[in-house]
Amino acid sequence: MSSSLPPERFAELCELIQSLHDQRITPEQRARLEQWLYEDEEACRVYIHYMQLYSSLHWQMSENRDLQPPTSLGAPPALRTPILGFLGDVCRWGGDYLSRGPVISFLLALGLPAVMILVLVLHLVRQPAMQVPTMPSTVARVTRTYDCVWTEEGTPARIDADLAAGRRLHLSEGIAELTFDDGTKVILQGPATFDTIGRTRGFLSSGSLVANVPKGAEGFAIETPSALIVDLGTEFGVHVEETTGTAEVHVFQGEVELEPCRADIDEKPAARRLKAGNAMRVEPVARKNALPKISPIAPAAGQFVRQMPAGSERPAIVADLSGGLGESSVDQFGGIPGAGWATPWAGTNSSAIQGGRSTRMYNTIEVVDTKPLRGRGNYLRFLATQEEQIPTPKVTSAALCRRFKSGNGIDITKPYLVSWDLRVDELVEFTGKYDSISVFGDVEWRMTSTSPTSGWAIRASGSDDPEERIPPRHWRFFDGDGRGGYRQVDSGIKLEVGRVYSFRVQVNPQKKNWIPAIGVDGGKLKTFGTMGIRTADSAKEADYWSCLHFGWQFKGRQKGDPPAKIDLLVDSIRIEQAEE
Amino acid sequence: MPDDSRTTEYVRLWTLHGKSIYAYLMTLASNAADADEIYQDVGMTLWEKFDQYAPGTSFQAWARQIALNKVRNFRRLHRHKTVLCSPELLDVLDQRIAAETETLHAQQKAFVDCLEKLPARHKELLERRYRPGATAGSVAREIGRKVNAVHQALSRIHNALFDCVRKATLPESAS
Repeated sequence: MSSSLPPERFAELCELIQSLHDQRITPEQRARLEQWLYEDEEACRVYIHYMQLYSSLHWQMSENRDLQPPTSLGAPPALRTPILGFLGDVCRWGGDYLSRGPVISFLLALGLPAVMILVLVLHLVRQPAMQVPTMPSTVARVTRTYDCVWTEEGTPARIDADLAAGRRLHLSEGIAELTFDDGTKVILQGPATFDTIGRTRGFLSSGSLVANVPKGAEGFAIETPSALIVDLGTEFGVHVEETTGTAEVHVFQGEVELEPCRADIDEKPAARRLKAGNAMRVEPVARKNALPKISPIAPAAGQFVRQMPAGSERPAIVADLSGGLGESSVDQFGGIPGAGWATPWAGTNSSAIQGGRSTRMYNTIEVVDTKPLRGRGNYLRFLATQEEQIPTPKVTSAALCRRFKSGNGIDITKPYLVSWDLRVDELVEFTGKYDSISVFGDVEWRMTSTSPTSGWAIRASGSDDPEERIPPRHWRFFDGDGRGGYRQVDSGIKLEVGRVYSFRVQVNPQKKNWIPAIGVDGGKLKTFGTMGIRTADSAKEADYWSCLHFGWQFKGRQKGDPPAKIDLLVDSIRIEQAEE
Repeated sequence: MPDDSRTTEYVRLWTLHGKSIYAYLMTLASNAADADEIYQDVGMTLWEKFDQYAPGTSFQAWARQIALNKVRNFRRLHRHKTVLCSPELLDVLDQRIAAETETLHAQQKAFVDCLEKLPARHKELLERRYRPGATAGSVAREIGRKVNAVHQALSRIHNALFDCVRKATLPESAS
């Protein structure tokens, strides 16, 4: 094939172009093609040449293309040509453009010498090449959802999905929040059909939306079949009736410019300004040369959802363990990298966990669903047993970790939330200060529990040290000093067997601090004060403490000591973006 | 309203550039039904506004500007039908077409020869498919084949034509 694209890419491109021309392209394919054309100059060239070929075929193969010039004043030529169907075949008049004898004859008959025609053509074709603008690959993201049912063809949108320009969303039920690149948030109420057109523009074919445009993003526009609404720094709602294309615009705050569409002119139609509290209805033009019907209506802010409901789903990096044990998907334990996880779980290989025969620490890690922490589904079970050791070390410890990274809608260089549920079903000989369970974020996998490189850490320990000011088994926080040291802060919440603890840690990498919160048995989370990060390194150097650890530790068991045991269960592990 | 001589001039220019404008519209609208509809509209508007056209300036550039506006308007009004829909992509295509004008002109000329070289049965299939109002589905019904088979056959013919046209218009050094 005469293209510099690799043959298989060229074949794929041709197939997409043919599907597009035949109007059998799926929205997903369309988005892919659009993206490709933006990014690849050769693809764009192939597309143009292919469309030219189609144009030539339509032109050449259609009948009734005879030249029919106007014969009297005031009658546009297009009206005088035969109409075939509603489209008309009028476009065919004009003949075959220089390649046909009759046209040349016609032009010559008009008194135009061949040289002049040639000069004219040469003049016309020598247009300077212009710089082609580039487009960003993603123009918006689905940032939150509430009970959404998507019915689009191809891959449906979902929470945290990146949306390319030209993506069509069919939301049949629920509420979805889209965040555009310019920061504008659009709350789409199902049923609705909406297209992302560009970084600052969308098209609502039917349904309702509310656009909240932040300062600096003025100019964000919503197109509808009957009107264009351009934001002037505001919050507004738009509703489009599916059957008629009639649009209603309600301004809640600030001001918008409303520009009714007209079918018959090229110039911008007169725009009107709507202020807060104003609402207008625009009915689409029914026929050529008609004026759109614009009428004021009663404002009805109540019919729009202006805020995402509580409990809306947000983008997250999730370890849902739905795949059980395995190494073929991200939802497994150990899993594979992906969906925001940079690594599988470390420590899935038993020899990689400190323990085994030398320390007589036995770890069993499994994915079970027998007694879920909340709701149902799989959760992780870490069962650790420590037997007597000779010689007796001071402590033995083990930890599992999984590293996350920016992606899946999360930017870990900005404040982020780490949350998980935890339950302990059995604690045996959990009495000393070295008997502990810790959850922490670190620079890298620490088999030996927290260290000066830990950013944040939460721990519960047996705490038999009389000098300890924190009571045994109370969850405690490591309030770091930014130099590797820390002080411990009592949460006042005790680790008890059988209870479910919901943790949430908000990490602010720039400010090098973190804020813990704990809830018990599904109750409201109690948020504690701001703690410092322990690490001396900057957030970037410490990789934003993105190694999430679940660890346990036992003091050394001397001869005759009974075995110690921890049956630790963890579920609902999520990393989300924090509100700034 | 334009007078007689202007009418003649209009006819001359539209005759000269109509096919290029149609190709331009096909590229932006991506299907014949939409291109046809917009083309008709462009023809009327050019006629109505012909008084505004300054003789000696580029008719093609003027017509393209109006055609581009028509495509934009069409996008708004017939959103459900349009396929390539981002304004940014329209701009990219518009500029790329301008940069490719010479090549496109050469390809239009080469097309006729390439079409002639096709086997008769291929030409017949093309004639059936590109008859006004025809679709791959209607062709399939006519000739008693499955629509996918028609798509595949057309795809092969399109690719052969595309190849022929492109090769015929490659610069000397590249051929």
